Amino acid sequence: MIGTASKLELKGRFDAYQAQGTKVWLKEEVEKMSGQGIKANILVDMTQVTFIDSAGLSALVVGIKKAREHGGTLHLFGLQQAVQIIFELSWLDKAFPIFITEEEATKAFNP
Amino acid sequence: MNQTWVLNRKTKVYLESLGENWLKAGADSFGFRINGRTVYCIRSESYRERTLTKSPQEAAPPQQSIGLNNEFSQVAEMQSISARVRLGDSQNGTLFVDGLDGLAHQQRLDLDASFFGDTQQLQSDVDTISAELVEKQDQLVTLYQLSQTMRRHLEIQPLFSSLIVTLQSLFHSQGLFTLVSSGGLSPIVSAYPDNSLLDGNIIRALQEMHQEKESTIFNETDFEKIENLLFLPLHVKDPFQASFVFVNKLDGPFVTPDLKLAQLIGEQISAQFEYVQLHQELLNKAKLQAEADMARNVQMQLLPTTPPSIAGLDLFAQSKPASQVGGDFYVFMPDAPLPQFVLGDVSGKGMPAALLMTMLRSSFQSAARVNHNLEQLTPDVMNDASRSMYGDFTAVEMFATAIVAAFDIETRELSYSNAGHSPVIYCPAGGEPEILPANGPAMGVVDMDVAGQNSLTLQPDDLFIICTDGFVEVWNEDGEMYGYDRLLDLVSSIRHYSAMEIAIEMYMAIEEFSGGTEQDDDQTLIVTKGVDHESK
Repeated sequence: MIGTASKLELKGRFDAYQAQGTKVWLKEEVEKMSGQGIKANILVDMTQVTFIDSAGLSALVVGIKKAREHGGTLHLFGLQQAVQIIFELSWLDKAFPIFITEEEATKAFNP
Repeated sequence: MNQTWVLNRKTKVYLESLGENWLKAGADSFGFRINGRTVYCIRSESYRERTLTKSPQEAAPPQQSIGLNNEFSQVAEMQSISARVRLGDSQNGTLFVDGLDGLAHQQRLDLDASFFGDTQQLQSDVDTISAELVEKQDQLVTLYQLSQTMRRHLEIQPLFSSLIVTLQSLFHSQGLFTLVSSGGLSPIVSAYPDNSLLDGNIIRALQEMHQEKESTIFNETDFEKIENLLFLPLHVKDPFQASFVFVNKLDGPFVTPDLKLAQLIGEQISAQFEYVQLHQELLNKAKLQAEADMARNVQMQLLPTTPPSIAGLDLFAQSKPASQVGGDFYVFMPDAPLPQFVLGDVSGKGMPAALLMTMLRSSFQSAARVNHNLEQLTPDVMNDASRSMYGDFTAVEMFATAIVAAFDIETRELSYSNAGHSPVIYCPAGGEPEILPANGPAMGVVDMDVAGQNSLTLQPDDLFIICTDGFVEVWNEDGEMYGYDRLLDLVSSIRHYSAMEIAIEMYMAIEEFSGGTEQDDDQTLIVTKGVDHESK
């Protein structure tokens, strides 16, 4: 928990092998926060992610949709260039709030 | 050997030969008593003649009489000798001779008694061993039948049922309980031949016993209906657990040999169970494979191998599926108002992706039928399809990237709406290939009409290639990814080929790069090349 957001750190190749577990974690976390009456804000640290495929994107899409359902949202920060390109090509840079630093990403959550 | 002594044929022959010798030596009679009961007697001719004259009522008595009591009590006045025969246990045997006495005769009779006793002992030993052998042979035959029975069954339930009858007869038990559980759940108790020995308390005790790993005998129990039982756990593969409980042995308590036999059988049954389980697993796997193959065939049927001809375009489309069915698809809508084509990739793999793919494909076809606004053709189709699928995508936690493109032969304008799909490559005849980014989010991400629209002119020899990430996320043995740069270099080098040749080159390049490493993504593409209207 950082302020009012839960933080998730992803590492390495974010593909089908990691995606399933991440998806489950995101859903549970959102429901837990919502159960505690907290806005379901999720902060995802992408600095260590070297590659993302459609399964990884799918997990994040599920995460942001779940968070929005429960009054929160999902912020990404620290995308490496290769990952940033994938987000841009698939237009997902416009679907996700993406920030450079953790500080910016945290500040951007509505109080 | 605490049973009634029986005069068998061999003993009788032996006594006969002894008796004949005594009669030759002048005895009136010779016999053998057990616990005071005469079980064999032979009399001399002269003695019979004497008694015949004495008592007419006893006319023509048999030469030998067997099992007559106290017939010779009248011999009190006669000379007589007897000798004890050791038969072991509590049997009290006596050889007797009437009409003779004296030390020499007594010694001879003692010797006879001693030999007779030894013979009887040996005979009894031989009988015991024979009985054991017969019992063992019966067991072996039953074991053989058991293994034959087991071999015939390749499913758990029939195997179980067929074992019950054989096992019950082998252990001479009144009843047999079977306990089967799966995944640590409470076992299901079944009783054979019926439920008469079961009640709630017994079932609870059995369920507790089911957890034990060692076979055990209980010759005393707290249960009224159960005198003794033999518990036999089977060692079967997780998540299953099975045990047999033999109840109320019909001929006395359970003994150690029963336990050993049970363990032996238990091992055999366990091995067969494992074999059956393995067989079932393989069968299920084969079934799944067959279903997957069928699903893949259906999928391939949905993807036309020959695209429709569209004026001004050289078109080629193909999908090379990975090991399982996937979510890649393409579809051509060649009719009014403008010819359109769609390529999409549903996230995830396997049956869920394939099912969603067919739905999505249909929703694009429906959307293309109802939208005719040429200004907004591809965004309208995209938004319609997106809207109709959003709920389904959310429910199954998936999304899809897709691109719909429309070509107007009059203006040679190719317009497209790209919902998060990549790579889309444009290569003008005189320039270098470039990746065209998406102009809208993937389908199922946002619940709004947000499809964008871009257009370009596709002159003869200009290239427009849509493929799936199976052409980018391909890994070689060194763990390197093929990537966008290699893909663009490749397209640049093969741009002068026809659409089909370009596709073939692209498949070959990927194949070569991966070095035969199995890929888990479908590889699907549509290659579009502008051609002169007249030449197509």
